[in-house]
Formats: sequence, C-alpha cells, structure tokens
Amino acid sequence: MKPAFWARRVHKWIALFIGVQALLWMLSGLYMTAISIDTIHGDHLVHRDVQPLSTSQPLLHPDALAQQYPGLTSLRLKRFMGKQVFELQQGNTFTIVDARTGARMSPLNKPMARSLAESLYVGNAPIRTIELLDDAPQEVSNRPAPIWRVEFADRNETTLYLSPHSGELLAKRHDLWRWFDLLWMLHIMDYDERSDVNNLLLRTTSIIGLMFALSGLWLLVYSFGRRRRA
Amino acid sequence: MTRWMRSMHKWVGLVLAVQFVLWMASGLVMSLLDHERVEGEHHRANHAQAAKTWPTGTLSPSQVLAAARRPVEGLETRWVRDQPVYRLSEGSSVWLVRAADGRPLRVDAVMAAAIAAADYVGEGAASAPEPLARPTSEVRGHEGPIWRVAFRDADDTTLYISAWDGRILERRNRSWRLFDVFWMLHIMDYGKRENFNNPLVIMAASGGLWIALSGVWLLVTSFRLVARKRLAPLSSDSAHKKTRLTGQPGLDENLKQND
Repeated sequence: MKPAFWARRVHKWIALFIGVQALLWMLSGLYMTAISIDTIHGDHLVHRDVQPLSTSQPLLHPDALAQQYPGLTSLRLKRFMGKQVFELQQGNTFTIVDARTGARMSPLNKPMARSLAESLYVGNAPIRTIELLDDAPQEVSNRPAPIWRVEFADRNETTLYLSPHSGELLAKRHDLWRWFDLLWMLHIMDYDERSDVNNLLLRTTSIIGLMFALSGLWLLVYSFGRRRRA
Repeated sequence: MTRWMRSMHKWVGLVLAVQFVLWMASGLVMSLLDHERVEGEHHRANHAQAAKTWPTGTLSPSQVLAAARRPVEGLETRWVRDQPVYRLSEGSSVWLVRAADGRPLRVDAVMAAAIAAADYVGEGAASAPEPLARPTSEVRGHEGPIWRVAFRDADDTTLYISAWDGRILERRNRSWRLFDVFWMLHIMDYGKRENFNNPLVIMAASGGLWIALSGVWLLVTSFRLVARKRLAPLSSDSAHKKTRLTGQPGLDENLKQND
C-alpha cells in the first residue's frame, strides 16, 4: 500500500509539472504521424511533368556565354516556362538566359512570376497576392532572398516561393505544413529557430518525461496487482 | 465519470506503458546526442573555397545531348576532383560525361578513395573503397551503385560515395548509428526505420493522446479533491474568522461556487 501511495504521488506531481508538455507531445506526435509527410511537403500542389531535354535546336556554347557572363562557374540546362534555358552561376549570382539566343530572362518581373506560379500550381484558385520580398519570411527562413511570394486564394492557403534569379520553385507552403511546423516547434521545444533538438529545455523536460513514464509503469504494477489480491 | 476516466487511463496505460518509456527514453537520447556529430559534420572538410571558373574549350551541351543514347531530363556542369564534367540525369538515375572529350566518367575505387579522403578531416586511416551490391540501411533511400569507405577513427566514420556521380551520399558514424536505433524506437518503424506515417505509430499516438487527455482530467479532479479536503477544516474556523474580520469572501465560499 505504501509504495503504491508513493508511486501515485510521484506520478501526479510530475504530471503537474509537465502535464501540458506531455499533452503537447502526444498531440503533435499524432498530427505528425497521421498526416503523410508527402502531403506536408506539398508534392500534390504542383505539377511535376518532367520532359526530356530537346536536341532539335542548337544551343549556345559555354564559351559564348562566358564572354557575356565573365567568371562563369557553372551552368545548368533546364526547361523554364516552355523554353529551354541555361541557369548560369557566377559565384553566388544566378541568371537565366534563353539557351538558343542568350536573351536574358531574369530577374523575373511580376507578370513572369505570376505566369510561372500559375503554370506550376495544380489547383484552380486564383492568385490572391504576389509580392517580391527583400527578406525571406520565417516559413522560408533558410531560402535566399529576394524571393517572390505568390499566395493562392484556396482553402489551404497555398503559397509558392520563387527565386527571381534562377526561376526555381524554392518552397511550397500551405496550412497543413504551417500546422506541422508549429507542432514540431512545440514537440522539440525550440521556440526560436524551430530546429535545435539539442536545447537544454528539451533535454531537461525529457528527463522529467522519462521519470513520468517510469512512475506510470511503477504505478501500473500496484494498481493491477492490488486488484488481483482483492 | 472520473472513475471511468481513471479506469481507462489505467487500461490504455497498460497497453502503452512500455512504448511510453521508450518514447521518453529515445526522445531524451536523441536530444542528448549532438546533432552536428550525428550528421558527421565534425569529420567533414570545409569546402567553402570559391567555385572554380568553368574552363573554355569544353564540349557544348548540344554535343553532349546529341551523343547521349537515352533521353536526358537534366544537364549541369560539375567538378569531380579536378575534372570538369557534365552530369546528366533521367528520373533517379544520373551519369557523368567528361566535358573535355565527351567520354563517360566512371567513379572507380581510386577516384572514390580520393573523394573520400578530400571530404574527411580526422586521424582515421581510410579503408579501401568497397562496392555495395545493394544499399544497406545506412544508405537507405539512395539508388545505384555505391562505394563505402570506412575510417579507423574513434567515431567509426563511414563515407558513402555514389559510383554514378561521385557525390558523398552519407556521412555515418557511431553517434548516427545510436541515434538511428532510438529513432526507430521513437517512430516504431522496425523495418526500414524511415516511415513515421505507419499505422502502428498512429495507433500508439492516438492512445497516447487519450492517456494525456484523461490524465489532465484526472489531475484537475484529483487536485481539486485534495484542495477541498485540506481546506474544509480551515473554512470552519480560522478562514471563516478572517472573512468576518476583513469582510472579504473566504476560500470556502470560492470553493462552494466551484462545486
């Protein structure tokens, strides 16, 4: 009877301290496991039809491009809005040019960003806002700025982020993602960067959490044992 | 209601007890293991040097595409060691073509050893690159032939290099291997250790949420009961007197409102 009393007491007092966090761990854990990570990544929000590169038209030689873009470090041939383009890199600077004529296509202006976003987006909701941001917002904090943000007027508040320099789709965000991100923050208890799993608060709370679970296990032994004796 | 809650808290707890301990223990271990070490960053050479200028006189992308015997979806320039190459891709498969003469570049054992040595910092001696016939669990999620290079250091660092394009696919070590076991226990995917959307963990998490919710219920009711028991004798004498003295409503009256 006495150990059972203590087990209950310990379990209850720990619960008083970290009960809310334990609830958040379970709630966030259930959300993160129950919704497919592919859905969270938003793969279903954009078209992914990859076509082979065409060899029918002659493309510019890198030497010719290097004359126009000195210090050329790398180049990539890709499809961009129905055309074949070179994505050129001079150190950290990106430029896209028509692969046949060399005509410069970047930085993307607003109509280009609009039509690129529309060509990528799977849904049929109209664009709500489109804005070139000088600082990447929190939800795309690790992406380079400036960045085009294109918000669609759908229920999921889909937002596509595009690079004005490389024309790449840098990120897809939507409400399911935003909830995941918030719950992940609560799960790992890093309320600033939402990425540091080694923070002291999480470590401390985890130790208490382990004691919580062990005290529950301990309590189970008594609470079922007693019933059998009775 | 509370009785039923207590009973259900206990019975679901019985089913999930061991998993609760495992969730907390594995969460604790993953939090204690330094993420930089788990990722193998501490044995990784810093390649922040300026990117090399692409040389003149190479083959053009048109020539490379024309010579390819299969459809190409992606084409980009790369450096493998000191060689400029074109990296071509179709679907998930990739291959290299030398930019100088258009001949295919194979990442052989000698090249894999050089790539591994250039990426590594530390005191460990490298093993001879070993070809993997099929990806092991340490390189799950990757395709194609892979070279494995193990370093004899305290962390048992192992680098995996793609034989397709010479990329470092993974940097594994003891911290990662430990982390991976606890990750498996945490997400309850005992096979491939990567799918945290599996039905088992979803069911366990649902049960866990039930335990947490019923626990909060029990906590609130149990502390309210204790408060009532402890304060009941107080209310009859001292607290009551204070109320009369100050004219403020006493604790007992607040409690009654809660009842």
